Amino acid sequence: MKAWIKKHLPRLGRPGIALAGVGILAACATVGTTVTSKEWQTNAIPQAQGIVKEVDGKRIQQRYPFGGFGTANFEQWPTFAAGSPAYFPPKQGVMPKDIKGDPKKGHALLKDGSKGPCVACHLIPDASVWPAGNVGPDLRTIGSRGISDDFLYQVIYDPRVLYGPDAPMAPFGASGMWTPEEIVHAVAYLQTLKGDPPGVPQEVTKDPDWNPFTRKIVRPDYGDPLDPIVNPGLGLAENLAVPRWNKVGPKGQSCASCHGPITAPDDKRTIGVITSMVGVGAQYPKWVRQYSRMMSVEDYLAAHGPETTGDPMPSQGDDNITMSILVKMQSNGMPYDIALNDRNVKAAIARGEEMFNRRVGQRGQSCSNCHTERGGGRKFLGGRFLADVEKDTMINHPYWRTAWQRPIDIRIRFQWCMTPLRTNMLPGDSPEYADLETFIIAKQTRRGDKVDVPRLSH
Amino acid sequence: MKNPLLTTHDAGRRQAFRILGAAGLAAGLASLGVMPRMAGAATGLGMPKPGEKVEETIARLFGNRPLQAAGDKMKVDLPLIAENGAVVPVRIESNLPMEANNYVKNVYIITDKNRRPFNARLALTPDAGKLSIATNIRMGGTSDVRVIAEMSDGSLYQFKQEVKVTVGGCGG
Amino acid sequence: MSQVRIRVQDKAKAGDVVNVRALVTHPMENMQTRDGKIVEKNYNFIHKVEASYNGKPVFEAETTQAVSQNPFFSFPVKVNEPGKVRVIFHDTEGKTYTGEADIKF
Repeated sequence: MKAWIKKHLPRLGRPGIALAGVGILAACATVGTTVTSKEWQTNAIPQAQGIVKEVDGKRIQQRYPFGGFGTANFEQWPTFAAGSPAYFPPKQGVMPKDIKGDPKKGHALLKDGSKGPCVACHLIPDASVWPAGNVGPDLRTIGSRGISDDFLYQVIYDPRVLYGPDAPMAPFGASGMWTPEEIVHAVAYLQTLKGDPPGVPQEVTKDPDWNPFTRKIVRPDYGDPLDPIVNPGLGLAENLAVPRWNKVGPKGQSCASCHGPITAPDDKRTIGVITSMVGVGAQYPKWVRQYSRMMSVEDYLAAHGPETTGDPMPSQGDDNITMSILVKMQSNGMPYDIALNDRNVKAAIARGEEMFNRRVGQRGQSCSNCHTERGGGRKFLGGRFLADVEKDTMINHPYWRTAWQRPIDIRIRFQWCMTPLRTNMLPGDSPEYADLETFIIAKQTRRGDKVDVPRLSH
Repeated sequence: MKNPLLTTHDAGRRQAFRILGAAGLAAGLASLGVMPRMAGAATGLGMPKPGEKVEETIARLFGNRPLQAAGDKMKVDLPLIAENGAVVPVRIESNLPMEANNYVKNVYIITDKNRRPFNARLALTPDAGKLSIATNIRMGGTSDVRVIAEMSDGSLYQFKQEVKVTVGGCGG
Repeated sequence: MSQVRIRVQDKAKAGDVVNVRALVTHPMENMQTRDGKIVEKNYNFIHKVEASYNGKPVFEAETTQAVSQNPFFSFPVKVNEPGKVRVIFHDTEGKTYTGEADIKF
């Protein structure tokens, strides 16, 4: 973190303020400055701030009350915060020889949701596994290859020892998620998987969708996401963001006072056109000198909205997300176009890339483990087809998430990823998440991916 | 008017679609006679009803009338795989007659493995002109989904397809 | 802040079958469980949808909690003259939500 601050020191207006305590920072949020989540006074709604607190003698992290975020606290493990300690280095395991492996127990452990589950990434000959994934190798004939027990043990204990530091799989043993005894059972089960005949994967079901290697990728057809009848996110934006745009705040002006009126919709901007905003959303995240950090549209609205109108617009709140929809959809059909040559943006991309590859949480996995070709990119994690950062538009947010029936921005999505990674989330508007977003949108800019907001998706 | 979508940060109700699949849990609960508390709820329309097996639902709705396969009489657009059961789009088109004395009176949508399989009944009149309807349903998990068209003379045409729900992996 | 949105095609002519699409913002409260038992309460969801064209009923739906949150319906109406489509959603708390749209010739 020190090095990070040093690098950016010239940009920091008054770094001393950051140390002066939360109260002062809050008052200075619009003049001062910050670089890490520790110092950035978050503008997010309470559930999005990543607050860790003690409740009934137990430390929890406060998260969203929907979507299965839970409150488990992982503060002892690395996070995406700048200056967070590194994950432990690859660790050699030693298979206990006094425990007899039980294939039945191993089979059950491979399917145990709290233990991975292994079957989210690996195929085993068990038709009851649904939906099976193929991020990792097909294990249906693993026992026929003459691989030693010790080797298999080490793969589960800590694969980095065998496959290098960027091995996509988590070190399940070394991280304490699996006990040595459990790994011995898993190894015993894997050695029974010979294939039928040996070496040939057993077809346990005729259903082509069971096998993730042959499963079709089907997207339900909800209809045109830009149609307000189809996409409730547009209706919500119409109900919240449109009046908010015209609402005169305590400071005597509205968004419209400076940025002009909302005029009749067209086919890409189906809740109204704001001429001055056309193309603006495609240029974010931007380096905002006033705050010395990268900011997405959402981040900027949370600071700029109250500063100009006097009305709050906290990050991850309905007003912020729907206003982001209204602003970003003005750029629909236009390519993402962030300032790749700006030196501050370049530095943010570099920090974001480091984050993308950083091992975090108890699992010690990184974004790249799931979202590159070496890992899970364009493969099935259970039933979920993972995006590949090099090929797919990963950020076209906010979108309407059908599973939660609410619009979500990329920060809630990032925060959601933290739960399976078993790492604590950062505040939604943290500068770190903005850097990670910048790294991904830089790729989208280079590819010419186009803005398409709000989509309608799972 | 209160916009229910504004409850972004309010706990509750969301995940419950999962339990739609837990058949039979509520058997008898509705008959316990808990008084509805809310205004306008005197009929107890929103009170939980006992779980039901699909055979019971079919018998309750159609007695023992035969279900003929719809074949090409009805085109139903349902995803083969739904990423989650919260919103599963169903689109139904048909060239079944829509005439004054011979028309599709009701279209039933039924999810076999939901706790209560009956999703909805969509009723038409001959003034509809053509059978073309759509809605979004909730599914508790992988299940057969049936769309049954009931003609004005009581005959029934059934379309049936499995929809696999993948609530899995890291959830997406 | 209407909770009902209705959409029809811009123009029709006599004898056309017009698709009416209607969406209501409604939580469609789902069953909750506590300790493995279903919580007994009056759940708030849309249980009935009624649609009329120039006052004449054209579509009705009986719905349950197994219809998605923010229910959406699309249904046909054969039109012989211009007029007004009205869709009324009824929920189990006794509230109604009404939307209208004009079909022009």
